This record gives sequence, structure tokens and C-alpha cells, in this order.
Amino acid sequence: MNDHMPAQQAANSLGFKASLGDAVASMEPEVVCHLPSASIAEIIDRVELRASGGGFRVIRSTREEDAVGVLSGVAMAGSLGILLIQDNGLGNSLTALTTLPLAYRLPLLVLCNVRGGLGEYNSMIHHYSQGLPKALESFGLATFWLDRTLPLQAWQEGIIEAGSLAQMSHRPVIGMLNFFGVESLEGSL
Amino acid sequence: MKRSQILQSVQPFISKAPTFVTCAATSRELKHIGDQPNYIYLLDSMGLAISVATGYALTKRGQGHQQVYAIEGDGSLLMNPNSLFSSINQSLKNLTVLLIDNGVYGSTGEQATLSPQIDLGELAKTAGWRVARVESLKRLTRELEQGSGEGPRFLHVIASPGNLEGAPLVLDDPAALKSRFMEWDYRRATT
Repeated sequence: MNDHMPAQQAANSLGFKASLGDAVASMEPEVVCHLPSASIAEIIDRVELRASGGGFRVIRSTREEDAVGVLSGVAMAGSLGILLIQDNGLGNSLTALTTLPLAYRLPLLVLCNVRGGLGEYNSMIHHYSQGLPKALESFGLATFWLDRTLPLQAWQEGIIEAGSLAQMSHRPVIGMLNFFGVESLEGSL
Repeated sequence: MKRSQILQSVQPFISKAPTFVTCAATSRELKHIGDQPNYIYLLDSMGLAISVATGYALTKRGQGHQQVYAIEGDGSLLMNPNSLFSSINQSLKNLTVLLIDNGVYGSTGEQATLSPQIDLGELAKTAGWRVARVESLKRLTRELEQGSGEGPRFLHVIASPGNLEGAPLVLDDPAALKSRFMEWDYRRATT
């Protein structure tokens, strides 16, 4: 796999989610932090594999706000950090996100899989996830959404562009990855 | 010894080094004692001084720069002990943590923390840090003189409660603090 392989071809040979891991790696981050999530496990696995070849570090964080702190330090050293989490982890890290990268104007790309809503099995999470978009907006946190209405190659391009946006606008940018129904798109590749 | 005395005595070591300082009274006192462009005051974000210092030190590792310092308090560390674990896993030789442990939340009315019941130095040691327990300014200076370049280190500095009177609030724009820090860092790298 090289970073210039067309997105569709990459997705075909690797699997859709793994190809998103390559999109993360292609941004040449200094550090990628992640917390566990079944929905983005393939992305995390791919990122870890790409990191094993050198070039960037991966930290298996134990708490989202700690990861936001670490990646804010990376940004203060002039480099880009990326965080891979579930969207419910944003709740844990709102104070950190707003008092560090947002207040200090530091680039940070956060990619989270969307919980709640269609396709969600866990009855507990809907209350949180339903209110999250408005909460993020009210805090002034920039978000972008990727879902099954978009062609798969747009996911890769969107993630990479979001990393650029975070760096150019000196702020955290949060990518909300909604995988509901994406499996059918992947099957049509 | 009080926090302010500790901050005064470490100035010769940190005044030219990237230093990330926990919020409230610690930031206020350090700024009042001797502000430097290489100090990042974390104006909120309790418990993240070690985290931020870790990210910075990780990015700067192997670039020939001196130690990176995190100044943390016991109450703050107890809010994010995770930072000890994620940081030590990176084996950062250029990172030194100064934990000022006075047993109280000094910025909010001196409510007691759990540090008398939980030895934070032992916790750090269990996580894998090289820990020194420091109970005097003389010992603190000796540890800082001897240990340069041999991180990751955790200096568990035992302090007495009490804030420095007259230290004003830190009212700087966080973005301005960041810009000042990064400009200092750039000049250091290019001169």
C-alpha cells in the first residue's frame, strides 16, 4: 500500500476501515492516541501497523482527556496529533478540549465513531449521543460528518482535509464517523 | 517548605527549559516569582500538566534539548493519575515531573486531598518512574543538579500548605501564552 493509491483501489484491497487508517497515517502525524472501540478497531489496527514501520508514535491512552493533554503538548512542539475514540469519549474530554486546544489555539484532529441512533444496540447511549451534536456546536468545536450518503473515497479525503483544517485554523477539528449502513456500501465496491 | 519556596528554588533549573505548570495557585505563584516565555501556565485543565509535558517531550525527544519539566500538584494528579501510566510508557529521558504534594487543594480553600492516604511517590514508582522523595530545598536542588538527562524522573516534593500572598491571577490570553512559548522554542532551535 502506498499513500498515493487511489482511494477506491485501497479500500478494495484493504477493507474500507483499514483504508481510513492509511488516511490517518498519510497525514504524517507525530503521535496518534487511541482508546478502544469495536467500530474503529480496524482503523486502530491499521494505524498501529503503519506506526510500527517508524515515522510516528502510537499511544494506547487510558482516558480521553489525558490523550487530549498529550496531543496538546505535541501541538505546542509544532506537530500534529490525532485522537481515535468513540464519540462518548468526547463527553469525558470536553473540559480538556475547550480549555486546552480550543483556548490555546492548538491543532488537533479527533476522529470518533458515532454511537446512538440507528444501528445502536446499547439502550444506555442514546440519551448522550442525541444531545452531543448540539453540545459540540454550543462549545464552538468544529465538527464534520461522514456517513453512508458519501462515496467511500470521500471519507479518506475528508479525514485528510480535516487534518489540514485543524492545522490551518489552529484549533481542534472533530470528525464524526457514522458507520451505520456503510457495510452495504463496502459490499458494493 | 511551602509551594512558593519550592518554585523559587527550582527557578535556576527551569527558567530556560520548557515547563508546563498546573493551574491556579501554582501558576500564579510561578508567574509572580519569575515569569518566563518558556513557561506554559495551564489555566484550567486540572491534571494535565504531565500529559501536556509528555506530548511535548515526546515530540522533542532526541533533538538535543534539555529537560522538559511538568510541575504538578497532588490534588491535580489525583484527578488524572492516568498521566503517570501513559507517560512512563514512552520512556522519555527528557522528562522530569515535580510533584508538589502539600496534601490540600490549595487554590480552593485548602480542602484535604487523599495524598496522606495514598503515597503518590509509591504510585509513580509502581508505574515505573524513577522516584525521589524530597523533603528539603537542599535535597531538591541536589536532585535537580544530579539528575539532568536521566529521565523520566518523578520528584515527590513534600510541602506544607499555604499560598503566596499577593500573587495575582494569571489573566493572559491562553493563545498568547502559547504563541510566546512557541516563539521562544523556535528561537531556541534556530540560534
